[in-house]
Amino acid sequence: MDMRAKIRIVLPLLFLISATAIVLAVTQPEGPGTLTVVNSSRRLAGSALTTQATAGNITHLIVQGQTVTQSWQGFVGNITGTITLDDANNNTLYDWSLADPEGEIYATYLSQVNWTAGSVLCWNWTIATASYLQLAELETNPAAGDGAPSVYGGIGAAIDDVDGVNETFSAPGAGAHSNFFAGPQAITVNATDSACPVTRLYNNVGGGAFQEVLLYTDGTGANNDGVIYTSILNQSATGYDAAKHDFEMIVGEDGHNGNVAVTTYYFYVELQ
Amino acid sequence: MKTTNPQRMAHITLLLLMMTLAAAVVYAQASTQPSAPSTLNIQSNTTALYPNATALNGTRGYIYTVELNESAPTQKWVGYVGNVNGEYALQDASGNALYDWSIATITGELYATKEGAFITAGTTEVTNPYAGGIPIWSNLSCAGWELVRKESAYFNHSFTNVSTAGSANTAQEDALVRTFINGSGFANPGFYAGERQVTDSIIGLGQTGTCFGINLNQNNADQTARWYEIMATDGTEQLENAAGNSNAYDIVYVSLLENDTVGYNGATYDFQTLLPQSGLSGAQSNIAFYFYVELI
Repeated sequence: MDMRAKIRIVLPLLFLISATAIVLAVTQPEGPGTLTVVNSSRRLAGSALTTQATAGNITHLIVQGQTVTQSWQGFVGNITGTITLDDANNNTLYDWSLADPEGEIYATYLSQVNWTAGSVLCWNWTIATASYLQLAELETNPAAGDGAPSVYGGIGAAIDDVDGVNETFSAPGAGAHSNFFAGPQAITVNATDSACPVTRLYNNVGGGAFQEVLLYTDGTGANNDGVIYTSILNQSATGYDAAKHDFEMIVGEDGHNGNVAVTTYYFYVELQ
Repeated sequence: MKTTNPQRMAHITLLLLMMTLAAAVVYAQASTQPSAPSTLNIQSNTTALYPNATALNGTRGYIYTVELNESAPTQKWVGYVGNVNGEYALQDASGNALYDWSIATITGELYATKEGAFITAGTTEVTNPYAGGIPIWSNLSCAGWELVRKESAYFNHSFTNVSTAGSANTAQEDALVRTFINGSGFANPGFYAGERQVTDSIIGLGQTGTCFGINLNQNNADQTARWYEIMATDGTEQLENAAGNSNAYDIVYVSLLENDTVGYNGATYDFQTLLPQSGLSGAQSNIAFYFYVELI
């Protein structure tokens, strides 16, 4: 840069700055840019085992078996991408590569969710209010008049099934999980705020490496009132299959009584 | 015709008077300094949000392995882009212009600082945040590593290890301390703040190294030839708290003006600037910035 002249006429300036601000007034979970299914698999049914029968004998058997759950479906995977400062046309003023994602991934059968503060909170199925989703409505066939089992994401389980909702997730307030934000709403565990129902999905040695909690939005009508399965990201943690995953989660899916219909889940992600 | 002595004296007096007036007008201001813009209008205010979810069908009993790719909006930054319009004028204190010139080519700098009006030397950031006053332009230098990491921590950009330059990688990707870089990643081409020249090696508070800065995008792509933004300081400070055991130095973000140059979205602008906001989650108050501009 040239040096300025030492002797010059110095002039006050009149100028106008017109500016466009690229701002983010509030963050909230949003649909990922892309979501690709890499593969899907389920346990294969084992072949039958045999034993000999001899007339006149009474044979005591101890039978140990494994069977595929008819109430749940799993999603595991990784998150890549960027953090950006974009305008409404997705033009980027600046961006940052996302090497170690932090945040949450959400899955719900609700086609839309109101993420404003106070709208999405821990699901507390002990709240005995008619308009508030009850445990039985998610687990079993809802009471007469509430509609089909698929209403409220019902998984069609019996109340005493070992793979029911309250058998999988801890009771409201009974467990512990990391604090996080769902959009503007703080989800915290402290002296005044009870924990959400929580479960921990496995790594390759059965340890609970991936936290999943149940959030709930108490909207009006079946399409706006329901559970949001929430997995707290665990960057490149060893997963159930010894591979590295950023998240693992399970979502309810009714496969009882020959039900082969699929359930559409809507995914949101919130990164920071 | 010869002039008489009184006439000659009158002529000389008049000439001296005119010279004095001319000198008074010409030298009324000893040097240029950045100054607040006359007006600043927001033309638009946008961000990118994707409120709709992404749907996926699944069957019970299956484990689906998926990969998500996401461009997540940053919570830590705000951007300003725009144009500078105006004119040079030879004015008196009442704003009356003796003469003015239209500005055809925009060159200079846009300065942004969160420091507002100065209160007293004893105010602290806890009781009176951002009371650093107008920057002392004659003291302007680049901010060194110590100030960069303090500013990053000040905005809660999750910088946990503040001891050494190499520990910046412990912060989140869009943290301030990982955004403004120096060395092979950035070089300040140099600018003047008033009479003060700030080159890439002019680091404040006795620190060594080179300036920290960034190049903002052009046509949605990274580039290093234009749109420079540099972190600077005038070396003044407020105590962070009453105990007086740490300091909050005043930081000035300097954006070099580009005359009608293609910006981040293909449109042409005179300036683009990136300014930090709170890195805390949840609803946070906006931190205001004070803008100054200097045209040369």
